[in-house]
Amino acid sequence: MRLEPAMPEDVLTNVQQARADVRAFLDMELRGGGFIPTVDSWMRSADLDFSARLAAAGFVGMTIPTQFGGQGRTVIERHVVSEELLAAGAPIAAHWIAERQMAPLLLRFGTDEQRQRFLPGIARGETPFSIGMSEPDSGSDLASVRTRATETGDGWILEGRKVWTTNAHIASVIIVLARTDGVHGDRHSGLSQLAVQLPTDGVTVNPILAFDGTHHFNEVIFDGARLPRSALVGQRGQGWAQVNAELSHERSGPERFLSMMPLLRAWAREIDSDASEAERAVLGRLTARLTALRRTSFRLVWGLQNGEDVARAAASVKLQGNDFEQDVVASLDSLIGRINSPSEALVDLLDQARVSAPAATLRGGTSEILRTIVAKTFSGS
Amino acid sequence: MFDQHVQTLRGLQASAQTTSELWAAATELGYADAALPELLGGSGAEIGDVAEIVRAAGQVCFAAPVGIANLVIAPALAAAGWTPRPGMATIVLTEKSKRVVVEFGHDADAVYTLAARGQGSQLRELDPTAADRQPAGMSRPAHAATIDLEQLPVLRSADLDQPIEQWRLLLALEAALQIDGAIRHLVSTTVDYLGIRQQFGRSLLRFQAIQHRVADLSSRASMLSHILDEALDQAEADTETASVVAMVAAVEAADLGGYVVAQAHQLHGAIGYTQESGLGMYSTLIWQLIDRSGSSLDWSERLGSHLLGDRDLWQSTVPCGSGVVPSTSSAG
Repeated sequence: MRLEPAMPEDVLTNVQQARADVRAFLDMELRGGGFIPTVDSWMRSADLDFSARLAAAGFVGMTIPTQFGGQGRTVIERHVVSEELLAAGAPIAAHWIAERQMAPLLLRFGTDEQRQRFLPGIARGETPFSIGMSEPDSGSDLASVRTRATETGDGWILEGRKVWTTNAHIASVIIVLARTDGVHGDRHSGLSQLAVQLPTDGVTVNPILAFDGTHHFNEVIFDGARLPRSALVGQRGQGWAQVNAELSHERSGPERFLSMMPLLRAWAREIDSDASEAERAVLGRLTARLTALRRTSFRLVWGLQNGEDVARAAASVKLQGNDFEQDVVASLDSLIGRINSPSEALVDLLDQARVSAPAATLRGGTSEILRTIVAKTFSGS
Repeated sequence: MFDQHVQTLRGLQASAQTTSELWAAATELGYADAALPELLGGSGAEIGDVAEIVRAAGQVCFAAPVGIANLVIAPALAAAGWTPRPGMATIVLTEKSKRVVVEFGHDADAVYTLAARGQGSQLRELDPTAADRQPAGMSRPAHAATIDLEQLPVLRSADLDQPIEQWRLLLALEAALQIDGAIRHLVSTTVDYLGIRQQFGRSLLRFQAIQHRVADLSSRASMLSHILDEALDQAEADTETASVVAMVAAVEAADLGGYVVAQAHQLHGAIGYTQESGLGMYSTLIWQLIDRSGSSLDWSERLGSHLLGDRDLWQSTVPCGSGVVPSTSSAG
């Protein structure tokens, strides 16, 4: 007997069908020159046209109910579709954040009006979202944010500054974590989430360029930006709890270990059948670890779908995924010199991967923070 | 059932004075031939049920070969059409027949060997009765012995259709299951120890450096069970993917086993080094299992060689499932 119950047969069939369908879509796109694979495609590769085509084929907004224009499918089906998109290096950055965590946030905590306003656009791949959380003095310690939303007669006035705001420059909406009540030292208490539609007077988006010249991070300045009352998402003062609910979705995702898959895939294609023992060993070792991560993540997402609290398990998988992604880059970097005439595509992917690698153990929760979260399982806190 | 097996095997181990006694007690309870069909006197257990027994054996560091008896010797004898002899048997896969380390060789009544022969393999039964059984070394379990196999009389021999790689994989899967059980024990007892042991006025588990080590240990260790579950699923389905997943399990188990032993020693400090602590018993078990079945480097090379070819890495390791055809609407 297995140590865990197996997935029901009908669920497995739906999952396999979803995988086959999106694979067929991606094969068609690649044959037609629809995109060029990149690593980290969920962050660095935004293409609104591709997002629209993907949505038209039924692969965006998969877990959004049909009444809001979504596909009404399951979390586990979305998971396998995400695996395929990431493994292919498809340009999904434009809709990724919106679909991965903003849609679940709105479904769980949003008003009917907010759901009607935003979900159909998310499902069509037309409404990019950005997350406004980190600040210059608040990275891992998000409870120390200083951005403030002050209540007025008809809404809010927002003052503050966010950094590392991924793709804010293309976003239609930024979900901002701000203090609505209490004072700065109150930490988790008194924080709220607000939906800031762009453009809005008093909101300025400035690029933060990575050292390779690419632009996906931004600084967002809120200088007296006026928001309607309806900008509040969920319950006033419950922003911290809402953000933590979101994090399970963010940290359980396959992008935490599949971001470098396009590189691994391309490299495996180019090492010959007379590959050295070192190349064979690296191929085997990385594939083994990837398979273990995939299997563990799959089980975790199944738990998420069934309402289990997977926060610590998600942190565990992300922790291992962080190390794996850096291992892929370091290992292949050390071996690429053995390939006679590597393709331009492979060289480009390695270039991208080298620059992305340091971020793997920082974004979405540093490895140090993740270790602290996992350790709470044992330390009783 | 898993917890029950752990309790039962632990109880048997506590009562037995010798390996022979332990084997006899295990046999009486059906642990020696669980995989045999009921018609042949076994309990007809399925591979998943047998896997639970093997994991439990690893968890209690069981000093009798219930794992290899069920997962390797039983199918090998069945393939040869041989009836098992009474007594405790062990098996070794060998390309050389001089002095080799034989697990349970210290007390085995029969030693089976498997070697490559053409496209298939050859099974031989050797008589160790008069063998010069030398201790296998301080880093190995007490039941292991170094034996010059060339000196042992061959009682019977059979050519088998199964290639040697199939037996190698089966031995590795058995080892992986034992390692999974053993590392569960190590992680659990290590955390317990850290919660009790105090320094600087508080338990070790209150220190961030220790917490981070435990987080790495537990998050890595938890992945092995999941991949073994998949390997067992695939084994029952007997698909092309089965051998890949089994090799994945072999890579991960060997890698994790060594890592967990090292971390457990680090976190126990000096006390873990003593015979009294019991940590050494699990260390030698895991090291022996890795020696017998292959290191993570060995299996990584084999898996990598298997994966090379014209097939795309992702599509060959992540199948959609047989008979699944894309629905026409998805292709646009």
